[in-house]
Amino acid sequence: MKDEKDHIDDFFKERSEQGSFEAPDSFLDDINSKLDALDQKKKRRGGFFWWSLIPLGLIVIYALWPNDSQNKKTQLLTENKAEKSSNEKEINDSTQLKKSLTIRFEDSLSLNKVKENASSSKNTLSSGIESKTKISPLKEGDEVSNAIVEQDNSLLIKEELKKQEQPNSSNSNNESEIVPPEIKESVIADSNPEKNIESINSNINTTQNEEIELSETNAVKDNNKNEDAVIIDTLDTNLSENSTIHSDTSESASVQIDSLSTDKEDQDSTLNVEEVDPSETMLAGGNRKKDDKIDHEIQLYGGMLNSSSNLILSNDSSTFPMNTMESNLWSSSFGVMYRAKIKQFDLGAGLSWKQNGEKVNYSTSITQYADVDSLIFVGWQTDSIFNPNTETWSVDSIPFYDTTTTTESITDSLFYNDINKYTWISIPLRFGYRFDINKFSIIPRGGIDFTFAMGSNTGTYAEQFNQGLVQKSSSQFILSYALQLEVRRNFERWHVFVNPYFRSNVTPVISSAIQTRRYNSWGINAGIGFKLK
Amino acid sequence: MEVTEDIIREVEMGNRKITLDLYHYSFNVLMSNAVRYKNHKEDQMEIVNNAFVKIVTNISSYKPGTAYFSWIKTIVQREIIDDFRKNKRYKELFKMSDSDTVQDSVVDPDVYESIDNESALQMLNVLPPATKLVFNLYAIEGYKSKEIVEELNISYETVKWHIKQARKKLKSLIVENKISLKQ
Repeated sequence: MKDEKDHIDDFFKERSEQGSFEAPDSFLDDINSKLDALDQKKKRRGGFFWWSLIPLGLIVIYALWPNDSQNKKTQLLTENKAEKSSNEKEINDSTQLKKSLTIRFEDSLSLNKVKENASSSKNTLSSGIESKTKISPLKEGDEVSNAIVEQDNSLLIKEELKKQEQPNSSNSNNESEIVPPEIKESVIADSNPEKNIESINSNINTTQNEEIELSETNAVKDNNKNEDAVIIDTLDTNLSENSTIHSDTSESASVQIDSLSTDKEDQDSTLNVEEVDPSETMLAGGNRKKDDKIDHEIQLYGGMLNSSSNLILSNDSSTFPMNTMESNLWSSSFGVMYRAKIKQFDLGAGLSWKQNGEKVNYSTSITQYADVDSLIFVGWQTDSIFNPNTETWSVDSIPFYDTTTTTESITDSLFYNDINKYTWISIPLRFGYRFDINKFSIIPRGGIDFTFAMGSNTGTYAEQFNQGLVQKSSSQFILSYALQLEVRRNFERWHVFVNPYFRSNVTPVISSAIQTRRYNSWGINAGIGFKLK
Repeated sequence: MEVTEDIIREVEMGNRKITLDLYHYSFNVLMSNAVRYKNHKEDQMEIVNNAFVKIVTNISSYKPGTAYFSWIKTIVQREIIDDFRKNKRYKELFKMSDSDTVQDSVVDPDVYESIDNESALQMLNVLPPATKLVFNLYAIEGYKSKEIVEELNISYETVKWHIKQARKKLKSLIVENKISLKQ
């Protein structure tokens, strides 16, 4: 009977070994899609690590970037200085311009004296006066050159100053030879930048025009030499009047400019005080006057954490308990925190995303130990998954009669080499105290995390006796405590910080009859914070 | 093809060509196991390809120079057992029936010679799933009764009963086959 049993068993064993198979296309398509999915899974794991480094990199770059506000301050100060000097220069230029206006006006009048007998002088003079009054557009017949209008005032001023330095009449005559008086008049009119001055000049010139016309009428009617004198007198009178008025105008213009300049200087000095005085601008840096108001801040951060499982196994006497085949896992976290500073106390609440878990490698080789004697077979088996199993049973046939001990090591047939990773959203609440040291702050904090599971959050464990691998879902809510030490560098309205921390679960992540699993995590976050108004 | 360290490295790196070469190399072993447990092509494909994915993901566990086919055979058998466990009626499948209608037959040893591989496979597929699994593990894969007890988490008596039932059924099928051949 036994032989028959053995025979039928052997028959099917032999037949099963004789088959030959080739992979059909449908099998190849399916395995290709499975391998694609496997590759994507690998890439996603790697990709996530690198993505998590991007915010850290950005924060570091931002922190190391040259201080823009300082540059702006320097730039502003430089600009202010430049503005000041340009204002001063403008004031000087304006003063000089006034001088030149007066000089030119005087010169032009002197020239008129020289050319008073010429018949064209009337037209020229009147056109010059007209252009002085209206500035633009010029009337037909006026020979005012645009090029001269566009000339740099400074050149004219220099020229005029030179002329001022030289002896009086001869130089005036020389100048009259070089520059026609009408052009000079036009230049005077066009180069005049102040409308007030223009209007005053126009009044002056209107009066002057009438007087000149009267003088000229007289000059035409009477060809008497005394008329020259009369005209000269008239002109001299005008000249004296003009000079007086001009000087007034210059004074008023100067007063205006001075007042502007004073305003400007006041503004500048105000700006300078605000920008330069560090005691007013420094935030939470120790030099600032500490007030009792609440400072509000918002922080963005990201970082890495290393989680290790804190495992309690019940009724486990296996040679290879689970935790001996598990290792720590690096994962990432990021989040946003609101912080309030009341005096030196620091309160915070936020929202963060993080992962934790462990690497598992349940693939320790099976060890079989067998002790066979003439009557009984006693075997022990221990493997990576199951608890030790000792069983004694009778054997049908006894191959040998001496006691023999054999030990065999074979490759584990049941294994699992992967990562158990859990994803969480948590609400951290923190309380701390700020120690301000110049521009740095050190803030030790403590707090609790209300953590909620995202998705199914399952892990694979070798926990059950004779059940192989089992999937366990995490708790949906975890309570944790955390200790952290933030070191921050304060800037005007923002700060950068690093934040090493320790977090431990109070309530278990996985809880079953065999295991109670919590996680301890060490990590570091880095980020940037902004002061809210 | 020999599974060397270079091949293992290439498979780990995701070299698709080498991985598919390894698939073809492993296919006969994987499929010969799958066909004994699963009747449908889709189910066989699921077993074979899932087992191969496990081979690829755990290729680093394989030590070059050791028996590769034995290693992958263990993996595919594990895959078959896991697949069986997924069945929600897992425990019910192994329930022993009181009505033992199959009569024990005596088979002439010469009859075995007349049965080809295809017929033998068809006979195995006639067995109920749980009986087929236990018989395959015991008679073909060489598992001990105790190992089957542990693997399937069933009692020793259940294992013995299914083996006995399988033998009786197969013998009757062989006898029927002999009759049909004679006719």
